[in-house]
Amino acid sequence: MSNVQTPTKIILSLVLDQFTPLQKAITTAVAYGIGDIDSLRALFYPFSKTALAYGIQQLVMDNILTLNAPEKKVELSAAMLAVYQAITEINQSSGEFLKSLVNDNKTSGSYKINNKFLEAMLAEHRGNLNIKKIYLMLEVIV
Amino acid sequence: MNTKLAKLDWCTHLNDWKRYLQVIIDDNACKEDIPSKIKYKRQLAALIEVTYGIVTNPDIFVHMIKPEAIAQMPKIDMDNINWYQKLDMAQQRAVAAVLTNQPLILIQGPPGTGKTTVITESVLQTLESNPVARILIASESHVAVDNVLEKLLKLRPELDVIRISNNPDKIGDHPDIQSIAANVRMDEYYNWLETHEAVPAGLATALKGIFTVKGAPIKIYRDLANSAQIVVATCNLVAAWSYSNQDAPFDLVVVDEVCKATLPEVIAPLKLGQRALLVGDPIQLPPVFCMEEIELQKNEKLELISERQYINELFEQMKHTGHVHFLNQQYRMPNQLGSFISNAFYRGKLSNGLDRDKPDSLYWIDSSNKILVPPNEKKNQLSNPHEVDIVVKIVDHVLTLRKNNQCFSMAIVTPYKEQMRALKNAIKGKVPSSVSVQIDTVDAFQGRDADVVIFSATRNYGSLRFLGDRKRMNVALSRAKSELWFVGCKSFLRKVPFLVQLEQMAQPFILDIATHSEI
Repeated sequence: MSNVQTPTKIILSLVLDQFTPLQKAITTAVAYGIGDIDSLRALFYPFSKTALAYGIQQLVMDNILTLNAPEKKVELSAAMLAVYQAITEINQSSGEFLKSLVNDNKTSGSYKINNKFLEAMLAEHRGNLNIKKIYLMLEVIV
Repeated sequence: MNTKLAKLDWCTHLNDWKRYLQVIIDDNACKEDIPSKIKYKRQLAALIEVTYGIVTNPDIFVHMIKPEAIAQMPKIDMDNINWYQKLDMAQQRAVAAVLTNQPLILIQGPPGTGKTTVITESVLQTLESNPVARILIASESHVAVDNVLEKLLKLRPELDVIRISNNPDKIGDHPDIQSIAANVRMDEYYNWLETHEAVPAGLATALKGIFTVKGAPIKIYRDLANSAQIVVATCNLVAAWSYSNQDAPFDLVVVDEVCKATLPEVIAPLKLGQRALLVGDPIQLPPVFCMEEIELQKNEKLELISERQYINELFEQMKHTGHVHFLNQQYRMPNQLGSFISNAFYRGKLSNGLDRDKPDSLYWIDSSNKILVPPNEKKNQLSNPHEVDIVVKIVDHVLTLRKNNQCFSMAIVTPYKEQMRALKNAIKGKVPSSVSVQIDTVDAFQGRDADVVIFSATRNYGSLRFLGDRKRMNVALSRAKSELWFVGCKSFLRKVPFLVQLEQMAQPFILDIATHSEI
């Protein structure tokens, strides 16, 4: 098990609702400490390697996951876990604002996050580790 | 006299369909029918994708749009094929055509000519030539895809197949099919998650929550579809899958009963395939539109939507290039019935594959009995109680004759829903459970058959309506494997030339219906 703090429900919703259910499931499994492709394949056995690969392709493309080409093996990097960690930190510092934003958007039936808001929020956290990767991920989900 | 119609213009027809679907979606009158609206929204999305060329292989659509420009079908090589099933020459040629690299192949299968056999063989031979090929089998109806699936699993039970439906109740109840249903597979997976020791505590619940939340299953099914080699689903389910380069493409897409499907229904699976096989029969039932839909089309001046079918007409247009394969031997009906169907509907081009001579395979019971009995007519719903009584008598007669041989199937078909209901009520409890009896409308019965078929024409006054419709009557009269009992008013039905021919062929039969009070 990793020492990553399980994301709070609200952040999990914010991140995961932009993903397909399989992507949500993969990221949830990562949050629970399943960190390599073999374990992921075993955990999601009804889905083929191809389907899983498509599920996480977006994350790979954004360099959040690393692809070990010679073995054709996808490894969930520490960066993924760092993303979760950092997002949790963002939540802690901007919790109330974020919560109200999510609640407002809930009424319209979707989580539409303003890019400018994200940039401003990220600017507050430039000192955090892997901030570029966090930004990439947030860019993907917006 | 047949007047040759100008070819339907693809763009105009596609735009008509898009406008029609948008009207239905915007129509507040059908606001309550949410599932239908979702279906139409998916279909509209599919048409828009095709309009913008967001498809796996545009050549399929090029063939559909400009059939007159297609090069002749290349020579078909059948020398090195080891057949899984016994096929006649026309069936072999059709399957071999599927194995060529042509983007679009059409197979016309008249009643009982082994369409399902040809589809299953095409699938298996495609896998023989490319063991990693991915195949999508779709149709407008659950029954049609399940027929193919059942046969496929009998031939190769180890195949990696998944049957997907949003509504598990609609999936065929055969155990082989049930075991590969997506919902069953997911239920098994949830059990595994909960009982597997290596899964961290809480994760199983979290995953199940993600997979079962509203709207998620349809997306999960798509991931399951990406994981299987052969995917079996209805066209309307597939319409929910917009083209994506993240999906594993299908090497072959098969659409069964294609002539019964609407253009958007056919297009939805086609956009996902490298090659397409369309199987159907333009001489059988076209897609059915309800009165409200026809009214709406009339109001919007979109009558061509129901009056003409692009795909059905494609069968005629692609004939000259050799891309349409006609299955020319029927294996269902006795010779007498088979020859009648061939002459009445296929210009004599259909032959009898089994050569079963059975002179007593056709009876016509005249329901007029000199007095016309007006059916009950209410909102275009017809029933004819007199014919119901006759059918009950025929059922008694058939059961008595076959008392010692209960292993047979029986079907009672009629063009009218109200009559079907009346027949169901009348027959209820009269047939032993060992005898399989299906009572349905003609439209619902396409693709099925039975040893003994009883047809109740019902209407005996006014215009012919359904009874004058060649395609519907082709289906109605071609379901029997052994005997066809035609119940109808002779004097009324003599307006239909092919029914005059049927009357002349029918064996004389006197049914004891003296107990009926009206006769």
